[in-house]
Amino acid sequence: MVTSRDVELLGANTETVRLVGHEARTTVVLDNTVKGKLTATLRAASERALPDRVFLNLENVRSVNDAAVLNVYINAPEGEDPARHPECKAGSIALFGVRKASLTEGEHAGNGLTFVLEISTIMDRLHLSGALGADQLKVRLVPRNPVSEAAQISIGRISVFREGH
Amino acid sequence: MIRGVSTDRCVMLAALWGTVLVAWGAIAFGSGTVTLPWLCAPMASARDLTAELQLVLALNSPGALAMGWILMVSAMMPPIIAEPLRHVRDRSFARRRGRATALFVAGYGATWMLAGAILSPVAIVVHSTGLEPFPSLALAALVVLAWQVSPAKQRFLNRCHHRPALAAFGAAADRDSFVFGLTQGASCVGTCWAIMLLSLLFTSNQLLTMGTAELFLLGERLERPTSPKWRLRGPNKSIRMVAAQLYQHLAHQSRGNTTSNTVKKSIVSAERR
Repeated sequence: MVTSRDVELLGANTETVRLVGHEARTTVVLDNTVKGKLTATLRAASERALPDRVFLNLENVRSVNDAAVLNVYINAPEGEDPARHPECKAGSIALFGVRKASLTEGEHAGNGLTFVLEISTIMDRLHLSGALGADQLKVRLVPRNPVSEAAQISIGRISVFREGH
Repeated sequence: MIRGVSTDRCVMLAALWGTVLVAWGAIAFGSGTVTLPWLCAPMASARDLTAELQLVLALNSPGALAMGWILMVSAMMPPIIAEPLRHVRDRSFARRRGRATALFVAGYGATWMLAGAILSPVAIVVHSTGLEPFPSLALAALVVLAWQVSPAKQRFLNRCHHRPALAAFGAAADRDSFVFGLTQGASCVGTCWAIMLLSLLFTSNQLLTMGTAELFLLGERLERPTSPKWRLRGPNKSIRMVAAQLYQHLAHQSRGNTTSNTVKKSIVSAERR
C-alpha cells in the first residue's frame, strides 16, 4: 500500500560548513510557520496522535578523506564538552565513501554524500523544556579525532525537515 | 506499506507531463507552423544564403520561430528536468516552492532560448544551402555521432547530475534557484544540442523524430555519471530495463497458468512466513 506523506523543510543554515581541527559550529535557522505546525503536533501528541518526526540533513558532505567519524550535537550547552551531554547527540556519521562521492567525474557527480539523522526525541525534549521557542538550533560537529585542513571536509548545507503523519 | 510518495511530487509530475501533452498537442494539431523544419522546407533549393535568410525571416517572424522553438523544448524537456526540479522543491520551504520552481524554469528556459537562437539559424543555413535532405541529414548524423562518443558529451552528462546545496532564505534562495536553472540548462544544452539540431533538420516525420529523440535523451539521463572517455554511449540502462520486462512477460506467458499459480502460491506462503 502506498501512502502520501507530508514532508517539508523546517529550517537550514546559511553557509557551507568547513570542518578543521576539533569542532565546527553552525546555526540552523527555523522557519516560524513550519515550526508552528511542529509545535502544534507536539502539544497535541497522544498515543493516537503521534507528533511530527524531525530529521537533520547534512547535505553535500565532501572530503578527500574517507576515515573521519563525526558526532553531531544539537543545542549542547556552551562552554561544555558536548560528549558530557548524550541527550544532545543527534548521532554519528562515518564519511566512508565520501572521497569517491566528491569526485566531479565520479558516480556521484561530485555531489558528495548526504546523511540523515532523526532528531524527533531531541526536538520533543526541547519542546518540553520550552527551548523550542528560539528560532534556531545550534549544531556542533565534533570529529572523533582532530581533522587536518588537508582532509577538506565541508558540508554544503545543514537542514531540518519535519515529516507529518 | 510503502511510504514516500508525496503529494507535492505527484502535483509536480502532473504539471510536467501536462506541459508535455499540451506542447505535443499544439505541435500535432496546430497550424503546422510551430516547428522550424516545416518553415524551412520550402527554402531547400535556394542558393543565396543572405537573401534566403532574409526571406525566411520576412515570411516567418522571429516571434513565430521562437514560439516554434518554445513548443519543441516544452514538448521534449519537462520529463528531463523532473529530477533537478524535485531537488529544488524538496530543498525549499513549502510556501516558496512555486517561486523556486518559476526561477529554476526561468534560468533553464533562458539557456534553451539562447541555444535556440544559435541552433535555429544553423538549421536554416543548412536548409538554405540547397543540399538534398539526405546529405544534410547524413552530415548532421555524423556530427551527432562524433559528439555522442566524445568525452565532452560525458562531461556535460555528468554536470546534469550535479545537485548543489541551495540556500533556503531570502534573496540567496532566489539566486540559487535561478543559477541552478542556468547551470542545469547549460549542461542540458551541452548534452542535447546535437540531437536537437538533427531533429530540426527533419522536414518530414517530425513528431516521430522528436519522440524518438526525447526517449533517447530521457534514457540517457538514467545512466550513472562516469569518467569522460571516447566511447559509444546511449540509453543502455533503459534498453536493459525494457528487455528485462519483455523477457519476464514472455516467460510468464510461456509458462502458462499452472506455473504462474504455483508461483503465486509460493509468494503468498512466503509473505505469510
